[in-house]
Amino acid sequence: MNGIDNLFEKYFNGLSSTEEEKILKNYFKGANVLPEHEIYRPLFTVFNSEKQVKAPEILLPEKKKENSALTRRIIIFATGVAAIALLAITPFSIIPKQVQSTEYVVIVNGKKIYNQQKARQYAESMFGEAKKIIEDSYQPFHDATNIKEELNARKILRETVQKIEDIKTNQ
Amino acid sequence: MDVRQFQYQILCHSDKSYRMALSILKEESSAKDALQELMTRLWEKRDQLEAITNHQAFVLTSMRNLCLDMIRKSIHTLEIPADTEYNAPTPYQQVEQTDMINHISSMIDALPEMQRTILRMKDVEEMELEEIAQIMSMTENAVTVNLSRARKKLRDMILNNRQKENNVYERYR
Repeated sequence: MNGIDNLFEKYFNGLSSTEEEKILKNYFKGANVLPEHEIYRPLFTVFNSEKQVKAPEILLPEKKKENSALTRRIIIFATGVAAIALLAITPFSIIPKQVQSTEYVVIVNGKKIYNQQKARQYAESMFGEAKKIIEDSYQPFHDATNIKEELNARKILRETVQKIEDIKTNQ
Repeated sequence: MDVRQFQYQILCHSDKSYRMALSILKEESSAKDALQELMTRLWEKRDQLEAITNHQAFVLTSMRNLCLDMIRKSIHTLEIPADTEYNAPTPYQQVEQTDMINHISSMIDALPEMQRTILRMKDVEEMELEEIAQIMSMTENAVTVNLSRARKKLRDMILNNRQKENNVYERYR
C-alpha cells in the first residue's frame, strides 16, 4: 500500500494528476481500505456526494421584450386605424336624422362640430398624430437598418481598399 | 445564439455553476437566485456569446464574479476571512452533527473562498488545473499552491478533530 501513501502525499501537496485522484476515489469506493486511511474516507465521500447536487430548474425570460414591443406596435397601429375609421364614418352615421339633409355635423367626444372646415382640420390633425405614432413605433427598425448598413463589412472593406489604393497612388 | 445553442453551450453548465454558487454563498436560496440571475443575464446577452470559445470557463467565471458581487453587496456577509481558523465542534455539537459528511462539508466551507472554490473545482468537478487557472484568473502554479493549502488544512482539521474525539473518549471512559 506504499503506492497509495505516495498518492496521498502527492494529493495533499496538490501535485496529483486527475487520473491519480480517480485512483484514490476508487480506492475509497472499494472494500480494501486500510484502517489508517479510513479517516479520509468521509472526505472523498463528500466530493462524490457534492457532485450529485443538481441545479434547480431555470426559467428563462421568454421573448418578453420582443413580444411586448410587437404587441405595442400592433395596438398603436390598430388604434390609429380605428381612429381614422371612426373619423371617416362619424359624419355619416351619427348625424341626427332631422339635420342630415341640411346640415354638416361631426360629433367628437359628444360635442357637435357643424363647421366642415374645422372638422376637416381636426380630422387632419388626428391623421397626423396617428401617422406620427406609427412612424415613431417603426423608428427602431429604421435605426437598426441604418446601423446594419453602416456595419456592412464589404462596404467598409471596399472603402479601406480604396483608401489604401489612394495612399499608394499619392506615394 | 438561439434557444438550442443556448441550451447546449450555456445551460448544460448549470449544475457546476449551481454547485459553485452553493460553495461560495453557502446558502441554497441565494445560490438558486444567483443561478437564475446569471442565466437570465446570459440569455439576454446571448447574441454576444457566440464569440466565446470556452463556454464552461466563461459561465463559471461569470458565476464566481456574480457570487462575489452578491457577497460584497450583502450587509450581513457570511464570508469567512482568510485568516479564520476552523473551530472544531464541541462534543455537544458533534452529537447534533453526527453526519460526518455534513461535518466535512462544513470544514470545507470554513476554508477561504478562493481555496474552497479551487478545491471543489478540482475534487468535485474534476477539472484540470489549466481550466481552473483560467476561471480564477491566476497561474497554474498559484492554483496548485492554493489547492495544496486547502487540502492540507482539511487534513489538519480532520486529524485535529479525531484527536479531540479521542481526548473526549479518554476523559469519559
